[in-house]
Amino acid sequence: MSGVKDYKEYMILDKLRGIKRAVLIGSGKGGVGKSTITALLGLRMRNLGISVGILDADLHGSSIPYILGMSSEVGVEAVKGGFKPLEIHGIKVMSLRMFVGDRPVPLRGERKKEVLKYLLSMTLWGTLDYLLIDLPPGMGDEQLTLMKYLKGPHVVVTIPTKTSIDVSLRYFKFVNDLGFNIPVIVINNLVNSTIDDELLTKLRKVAPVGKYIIIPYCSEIEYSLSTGTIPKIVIEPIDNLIDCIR
Amino acid sequence: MHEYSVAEGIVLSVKSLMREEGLSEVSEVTVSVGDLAQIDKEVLLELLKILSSEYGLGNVKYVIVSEETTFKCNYCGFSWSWSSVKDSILKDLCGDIVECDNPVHFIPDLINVFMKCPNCGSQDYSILTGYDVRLVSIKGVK
Repeated sequence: MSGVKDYKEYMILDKLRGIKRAVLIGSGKGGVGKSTITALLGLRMRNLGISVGILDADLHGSSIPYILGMSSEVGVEAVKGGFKPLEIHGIKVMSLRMFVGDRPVPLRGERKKEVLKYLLSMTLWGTLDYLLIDLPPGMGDEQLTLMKYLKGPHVVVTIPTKTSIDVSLRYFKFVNDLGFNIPVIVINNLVNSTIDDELLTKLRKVAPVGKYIIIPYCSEIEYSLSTGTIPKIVIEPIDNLIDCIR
Repeated sequence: MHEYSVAEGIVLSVKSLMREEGLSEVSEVTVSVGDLAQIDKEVLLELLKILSSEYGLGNVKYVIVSEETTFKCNYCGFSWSWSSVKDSILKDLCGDIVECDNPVHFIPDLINVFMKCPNCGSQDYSILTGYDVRLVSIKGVK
């Protein structure tokens, strides 16, 4: 038998075996707060005694370690059997930033696919209640690669602007057409604007999901997350979000 | 340490392929190792033998074939080999140590982050040959 499969394919199943549920956090649009929502979810789950890991799949714009206050000097540790995730505020984190630091990551599609396969096949998550995947913007290599291996629910994130909702709805359709469950859409009010009823009506019409959760504007969120704390104002909506993905 | 993960991955793959192909026994496995991955082939071979025994594969003969990694720049068309630039790249990554656990050893695809085309300085180039560690063939009986 020749031309056999990539050995990493077999390792991926082995490494994901201890994960009870994977949740993918995406949008299609950049700058809507996907990483912030992922970090909030991770911290809140940890506070509630849920074991949680975060895979930072934003290869070009990795920000999870930064958001959680990790130094850019921290490198990856290879141990017997794979890469040890970094533990930040009780959350297991794997990010390309641990390999490349602050350097830019100029990778074409095929290379990105292979990098993600490495992260999936070599990260020693152990047993976890939840693995949260912080997706990059877009509907390309990263999303398609990860959706091949991780069949969990998707959280779609948008901000309350026409442009963001337009792209997020296309993302919703992309994920929905592939048969993935989208139990909730998060409207992250990071622009501190009044949320237009017309936009919400459009959202509800095109994307009839179970629930819409609004994350209120919070000016100190970035500082709070870097110290591992959650601003009080967002605890209730994040708890509602956790209920949606359970 | 990374060699252990690679060896384990290969052995797990051989086990799965045995099941998929209905093989009762595997006699020979050929593995190609691109030099960009900086894998210690003697260590890999030793670990493959140990892990084969641990995973119940029995006495498998492993053949490791070295492959030179070559690149072609997508911007200017220049071609070069890893061996021609290896020393300077590893010096940047490892300092004065000859070899070290570095990101390219762990994930060879990250070479584009750490190396530029020697001719034009672009980081947009393709790996033509010698990509990573690959399971090339398995010989066995049904």
